[in-house]
Amino acid sequence: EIEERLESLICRVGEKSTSSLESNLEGLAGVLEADLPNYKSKILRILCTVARLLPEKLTVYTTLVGLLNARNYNFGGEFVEAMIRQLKECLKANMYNEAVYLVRFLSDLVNCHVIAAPSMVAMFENFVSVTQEEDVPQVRCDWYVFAFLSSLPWVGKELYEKKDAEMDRILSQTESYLKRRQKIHVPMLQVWSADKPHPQEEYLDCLWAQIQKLKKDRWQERHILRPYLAFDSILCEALQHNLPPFTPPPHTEDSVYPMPRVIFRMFDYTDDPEGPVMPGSHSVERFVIEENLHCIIKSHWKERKTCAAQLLSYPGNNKIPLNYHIVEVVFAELFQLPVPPHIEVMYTTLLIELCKLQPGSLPQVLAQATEMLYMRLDTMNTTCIDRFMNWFSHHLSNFQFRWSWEDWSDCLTHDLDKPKPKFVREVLEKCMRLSYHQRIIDIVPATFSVLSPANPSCIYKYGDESNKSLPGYTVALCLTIAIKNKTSNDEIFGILKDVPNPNQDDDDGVVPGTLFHEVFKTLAESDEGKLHVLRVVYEVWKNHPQMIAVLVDKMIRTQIVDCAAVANWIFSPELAHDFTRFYIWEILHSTIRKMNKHVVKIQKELEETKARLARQHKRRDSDDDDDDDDRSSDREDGPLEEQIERLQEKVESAQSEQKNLFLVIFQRFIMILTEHLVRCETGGIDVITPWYKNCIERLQQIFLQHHQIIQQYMLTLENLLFTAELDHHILAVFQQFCALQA
Amino acid sequence: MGLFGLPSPFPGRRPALVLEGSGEPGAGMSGVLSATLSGLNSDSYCEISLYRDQHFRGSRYLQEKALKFSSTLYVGNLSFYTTEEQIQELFSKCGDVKRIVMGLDKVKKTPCGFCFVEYYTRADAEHAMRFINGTRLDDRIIRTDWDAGFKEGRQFGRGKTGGQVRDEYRTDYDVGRGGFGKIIQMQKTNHQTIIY
Repeated sequence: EIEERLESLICRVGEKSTSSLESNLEGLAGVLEADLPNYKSKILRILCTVARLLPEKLTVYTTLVGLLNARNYNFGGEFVEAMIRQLKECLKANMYNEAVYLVRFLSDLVNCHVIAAPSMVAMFENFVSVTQEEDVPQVRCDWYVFAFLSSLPWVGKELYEKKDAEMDRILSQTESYLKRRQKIHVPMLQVWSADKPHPQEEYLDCLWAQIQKLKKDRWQERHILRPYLAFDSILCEALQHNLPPFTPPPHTEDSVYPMPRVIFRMFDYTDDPEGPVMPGSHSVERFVIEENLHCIIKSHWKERKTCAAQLLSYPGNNKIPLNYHIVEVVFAELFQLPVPPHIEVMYTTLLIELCKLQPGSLPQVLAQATEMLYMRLDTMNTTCIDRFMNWFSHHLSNFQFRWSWEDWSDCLTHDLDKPKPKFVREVLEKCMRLSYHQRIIDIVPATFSVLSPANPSCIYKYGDESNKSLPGYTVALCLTIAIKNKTSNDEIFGILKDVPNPNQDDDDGVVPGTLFHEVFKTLAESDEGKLHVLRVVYEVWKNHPQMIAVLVDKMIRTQIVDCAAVANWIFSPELAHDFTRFYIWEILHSTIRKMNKHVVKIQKELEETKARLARQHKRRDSDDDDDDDDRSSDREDGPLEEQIERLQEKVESAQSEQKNLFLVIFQRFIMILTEHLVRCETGGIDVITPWYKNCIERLQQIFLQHHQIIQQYMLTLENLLFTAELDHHILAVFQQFCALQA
Repeated sequence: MGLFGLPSPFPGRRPALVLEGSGEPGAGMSGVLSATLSGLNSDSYCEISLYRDQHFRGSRYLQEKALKFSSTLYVGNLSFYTTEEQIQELFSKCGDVKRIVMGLDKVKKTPCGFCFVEYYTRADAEHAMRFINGTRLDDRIIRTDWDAGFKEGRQFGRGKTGGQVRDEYRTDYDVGRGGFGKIIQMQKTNHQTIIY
């Protein structure tokens, strides 16, 4: 198939080859030029797509387009038009990340003599004038400024040479915008709250500093590979096109712009004294390297071997400490707030692949990074500590848990609730979950026993000794609950007589032999009953947090308890002792996720049923008017319309339950934090205790992790819960959250 | 997703993709945003393997269809001592686990080194194929593969002596899987009997 062949040729150019990149590009340009008469639209489409999806090979493809334009001026013009159309579509579809790549591509086409510099400057003028728009979200202006600034490493020199006065004007307009924009959101997005050793800068501030430095260096940029330089004599003969005037599409209610970011930095040139010098944090090289590495991960995350290989073959290997850049970029994604771009476990497996490919160097960098992260735990955001802990324990489980634990014996001198010993405890607990208790006792020095997890077993206080008969447990549990709920004697005898029937049918996901479903359900009909069930589960399984999580999950799915009950239970005094333990928050977030998935599922059902009805109407309309039309169409529509009504109700009820869940959670947070603040103030003690830091960051985590859903409740939250009377510590979290999409 | 976080629309509102021909000149670019590159679509870890369960009730076609839509994974090369809890912990990293069925020796009814892991969604199972397959559990590289779906009876080993077939013929000594393969073990006992 010709299209496949063309696609393959185009996609593969730039990869490792026996011939030079230049000769490959020249050859490919020749092939494509010959195919233009017959396959022009396919070639246009493929080239537009690689511009959007392969940004790490930007300059390879702009060179290719440059060569084609030199051979066929009309084609160059059509390509530019197609790119502009694609850019507009991306912006309308809220695909802002990809739109940046398109803008960058267009700007690099100036270097390839495809687009005239003045018209590019004009486009950037229009971009930055968005900052003058009134009543638009800051994040909208942010994007246009970012698109402009982030193209300058590629094209700054050329644009400045041709139109320095205009560029100075645009840059000064940018500067004044950056000075006046608000940055309330920054603390919420920082991985570390400390500025040492590396400040965690807001992304636009960092980029601005990098561009300033680039300008001071007279726009000399030496890192980017520019294949078009080799073709200068051909390309400068080509006729250039002018970009049509570009008006940024207006802001609409449906526009959703990217959230601000904080730039993650953990290394600098002092961390690898023997190797090549790492570009400084405000150098444009640093920006370009990081952008490209992120793009590679985005392109290949599903294929871990390819991803690792592509990362390690990033050009410039001997001039930059590539391993350090890679590790920093991977951790940047893993720790990114609100959420990582990809599923967390991908990063663990990617790092393992990288270690396999570079066994002599990468593991050492990783160990160094781990050590650094450990040293800075005191100021690390709680959510990021969770991710660090999850990653580290999973990583160790792939390497026989080998680690120099003694190096961390300093943590034993701290209070157990301080970040470092807490981290080690959680890591050991996670390691145990991936292996078994004795293994963990064996791998740590004896001095660490105070941090070792409890032997996970059931606390069976209700009668006979044996741990083996699981059905016996459930009866005992039922009895306990029954007794606590003062159920009548008749009912208790009924329970005693019945033998729990391990249910093999898994339609509702009931685990065989673990739950005596019906009995629990009856007993848990009231809110008090639900709380009792949860409390008993906790009492019996508190040495086995994993079991608690599994049981709570099952109880929600079998509707023995509802999500709000779990939320209330987590904030109840009985759980205060475990309140800062990771497994509690694992349970809460899992509960919220289940609620969210439930709402989405029913919404989808509703959409699908509506679509079915629409199709039914369409089919009827397209058929010729037949005999008994009206009655039969009513009959046909009836059941579907009923279904839609029912589903509509179901959706509303689910959405209301979801909103209630969040309100309960926020309310409980406010209560528990206010209690702490009041106690501290009256007692004259410092508010910032390890418990407080943990709690307030857990509140932040709720906002960040579920921000899309919570956005719907802003008015209620503002008017009901996060009002001006609230303590400013708590209110600040809400205000930072509001600032994220402002 | 990308560098900037999650630029997704509010629930219920989908991004307006400008699709079919807006009538603009020089079109043929309709649906350009839906264009992908087959090279980039590579997802080799999620491909169906060559294994087909000989006991599957139904045609090859049906079996392959089941495999293509399945959310159940077969997990192999487990240690006999690996517990359901360990499997739960590891596979939960890819999503909520619906259930785990431990593979059992048909005679002894003890774990014999494999299991089935079922997720609620295929997407979660795909993550496991991409990121758990080929990594370690209990220090052993485990292997995951698509399964057509658990049916009663499939939790038992199909080797003559009750365990998995591969443990019948194995010649190496594997401490996590009962030592030598069964046939070798029997040969050793026979050999000893002959000597006396």
